[in-house]
Amino acid sequence: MQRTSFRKSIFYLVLIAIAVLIPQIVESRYYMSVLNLASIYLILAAGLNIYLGYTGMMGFTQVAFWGIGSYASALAMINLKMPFWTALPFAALFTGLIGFLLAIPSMRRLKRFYLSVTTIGFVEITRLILENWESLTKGADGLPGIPRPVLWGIKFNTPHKFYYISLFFVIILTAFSYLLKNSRVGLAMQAIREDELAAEVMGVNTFRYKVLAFTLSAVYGGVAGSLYAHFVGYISPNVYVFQEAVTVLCMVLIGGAGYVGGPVIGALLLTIVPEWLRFMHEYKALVYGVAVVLMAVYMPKGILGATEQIRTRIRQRVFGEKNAPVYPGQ
Amino acid sequence: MNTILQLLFSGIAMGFVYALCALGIVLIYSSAGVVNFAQGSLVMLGAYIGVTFLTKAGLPVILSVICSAIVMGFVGVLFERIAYYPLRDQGSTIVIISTIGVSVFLNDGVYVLWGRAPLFFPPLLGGPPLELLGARVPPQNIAIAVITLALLLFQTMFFKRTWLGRKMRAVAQDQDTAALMGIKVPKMIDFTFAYSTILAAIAGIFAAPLFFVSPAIAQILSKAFASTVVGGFGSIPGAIIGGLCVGVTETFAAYYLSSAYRDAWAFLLLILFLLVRPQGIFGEIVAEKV
Repeated sequence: MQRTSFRKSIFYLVLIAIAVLIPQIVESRYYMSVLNLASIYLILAAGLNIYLGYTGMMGFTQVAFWGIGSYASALAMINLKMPFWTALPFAALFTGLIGFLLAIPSMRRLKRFYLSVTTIGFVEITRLILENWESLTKGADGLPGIPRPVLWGIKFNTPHKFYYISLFFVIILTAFSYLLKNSRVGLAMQAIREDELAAEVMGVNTFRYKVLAFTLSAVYGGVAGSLYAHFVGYISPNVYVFQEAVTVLCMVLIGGAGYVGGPVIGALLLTIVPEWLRFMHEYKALVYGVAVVLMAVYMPKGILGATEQIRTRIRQRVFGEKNAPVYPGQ
Repeated sequence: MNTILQLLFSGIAMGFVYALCALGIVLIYSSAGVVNFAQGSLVMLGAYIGVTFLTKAGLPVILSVICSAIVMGFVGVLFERIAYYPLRDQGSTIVIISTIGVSVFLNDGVYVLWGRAPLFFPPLLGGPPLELLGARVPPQNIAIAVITLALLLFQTMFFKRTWLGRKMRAVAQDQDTAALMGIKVPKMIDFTFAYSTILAAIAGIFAAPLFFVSPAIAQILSKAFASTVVGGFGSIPGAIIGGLCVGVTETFAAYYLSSAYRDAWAFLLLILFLLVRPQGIFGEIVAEKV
């Protein structure tokens, strides 16, 4: 065990080193923009993963939290003259609070399908409020001229510079997901996913952990929203539509729900591959749809789930470990 | 008074459209045990196929409704074979995901076949609005009400009186026992998907003149979900009454309260029901399955 975990940490360090070096290698501003967007989607997907992957609940709220986070951060900077470094935590906390307030009645009362329908309603109502509260959000025209982050006199105004901010939050939040997953809290969440009743019987306070999972996913959404607002510099309500919720859902599922690396692989794959498929850009969603159905049928646990299965099978063949233990998601 | 009646009639017409979509969701849920997130997209596809028969092939209205219902029946079976049948033993979450995949595919797929511009769909019944109890009702809304009621009557007779209908009900009640009685369960599920998709096609043709034929029609899904919950999830009369409630509430609230928030009222009604009467109008309080 000791050696594998050492090898693993080397692997993660190499990955981070590559990620840090990317702006030195990639010159195109365009590709750096794509990577920034991929990081933002990654954070959204990582948040959904806590809720969907760890706790096993279905929901579409991530896109609404993304929108709330964007507006909270942008308005805090424009109206309250906060600097970026307080606007982002403000947005994250504000979104988390909304998530918490929404979670308390929903988690107490609603199960499965009812919960999914309520989350669809929440997405719709959020979008309508952003569109109609014109005195605050400027309505459907959107909010232009959102200031860029500044730190120690450095203005993060190019995709190359902004990438370091995105990367910083990706690393922090992915590390948090990793620590959470292997903690007592994460194990309780996964117990709920496997069998809610059994978890309850074992003494897990399912209500509390479900509210926590939902709130954490809202906080991730808030961070992603803040980054998006300050990276793009312009936000409008028609960014935060139901389709985007489905895109984020696809990222988690294709990467592998419940795995820490799932959202990473899913988000990178679904933002970078469409760039190569330029000729199909108009029909991006068509490819997503086919991919999701194929995934559901052939790889219900996503890419990481499938590789794990293959690895187990090889181990059984090669080493003759008939009962080679399987540790899901390790 | 006239305004109230006027709003009531147009709310009911809208409500029937929601009801048909909700009915498809409930039928599939009760026979196959899965929530179909592609129902809205099937409604949209029905509208596209209807407009093709009507304007491209130049068929008369009635014939194009029948032709698109038949085509959509086969689409329903195909849909079931792709998105449900391979996953039938794998739990409901993964089936929900595959139906979401199908809906994403369809919402974008129609652009490939029919182009990006919304298509015009003429009303089923043209002509000047009729006077009814002092309110002016477009003939289209009367056509919607008459056809839906006829369809519901046919459906009740079909489920009560025919062998096929009885077998489908048996499967919905208990798949295992139905199988022991010699009923071919997969075949009955095929029929249920086909029938639900036909309902979607008709809802699509009703909705088309109101919205234009475009992927926007697929958004009817969330209203249909709200209808199923308001009526009592899983109940057939509940889906119809729920649809009417949502349609009427939405129309009145849009007129008297705020039309900007038109699409929010259905969800506020839903939230109200979840707080006050979570089992819906026709639902029973069911102990949680262990």
